[in-house]
Amino acid sequence: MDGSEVRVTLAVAQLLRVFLDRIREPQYGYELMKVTGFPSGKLYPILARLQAAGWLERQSEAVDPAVAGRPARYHYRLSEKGAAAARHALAAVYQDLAPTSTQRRTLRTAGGAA
Amino acid sequence: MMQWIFGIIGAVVCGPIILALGDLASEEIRGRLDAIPRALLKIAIRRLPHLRDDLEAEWQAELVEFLHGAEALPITRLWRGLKFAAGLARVAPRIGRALGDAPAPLANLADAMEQVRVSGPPAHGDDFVRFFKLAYGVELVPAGSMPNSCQTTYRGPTGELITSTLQGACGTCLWDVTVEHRPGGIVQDVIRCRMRNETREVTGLRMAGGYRAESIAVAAQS
Repeated sequence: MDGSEVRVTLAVAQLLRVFLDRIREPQYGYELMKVTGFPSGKLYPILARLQAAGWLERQSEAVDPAVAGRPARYHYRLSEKGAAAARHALAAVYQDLAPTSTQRRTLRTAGGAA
Repeated sequence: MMQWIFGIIGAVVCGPIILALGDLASEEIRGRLDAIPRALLKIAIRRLPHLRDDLEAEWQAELVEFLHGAEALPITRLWRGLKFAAGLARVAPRIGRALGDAPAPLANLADAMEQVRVSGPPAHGDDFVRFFKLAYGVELVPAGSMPNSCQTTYRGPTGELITSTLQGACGTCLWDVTVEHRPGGIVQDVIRCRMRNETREVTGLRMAGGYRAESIAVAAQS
């Protein structure tokens, strides 16, 4: 799948924002669910789509389960291509959601004194 | 007076035993409760179109977080574990498709059945064998035929319509078909077909690729 095929919904944008905010830290499902508030049925299909598009890289944690006392988790992080695409996609979303010039004028006029 | 003394002795002796039994029982119940989300997660994994050991490992590791996390109180962890596993069970086929898994020959039985069924309730016996051949290109050697009758029309891969009728009476039927993969067995897989609490086994399924067990329940009205 090509990266351009990713449909950036609001939920996808929210998730990309989390990855961009913590670009150096690998994320795992449980943590992402806590941060975004997404249930598993919403989070994992998005992760799968982003992974298939090459925006996310997935890697098994290098821990010994016997030592860690838990199974190895799988981490996700933005790929180089994904980071660029995510920034571009988020910029497009912000632009789409930004108030128009007329709305801005209205907001300024209607606003009270600070 | 003696009754009081015996009562006190009894309480001193039996009290700790009752308390210990209570602890054991609650520990047992806790263990059993943890097994419920694990079982649900297994269903989610079985719903993946292809064998995905890596996803299985990932989801199990995540479930451990829910079941043994710092904030995991018994009821809370059960609820969160169930929510996590149920969510995955619901979307597992979608995740598999997103990851680009080519559907295995028997990967998505319910979907395929819906696609090829043109009219009538799903049939069984010979018709079921034909259905498998058409839908998946596999040969099924039936060990027996079902007593119920129903007429079903399937559309074959080249668009042809095939109508099949079985003998007997058929009312509202609830199907529950399980395809079970036996590791290491190439042609000795088992299909269990249950209809009205009757279970028949069909063996000798030849498959063109790997698959996981798949369950469907199709409610059909004759």
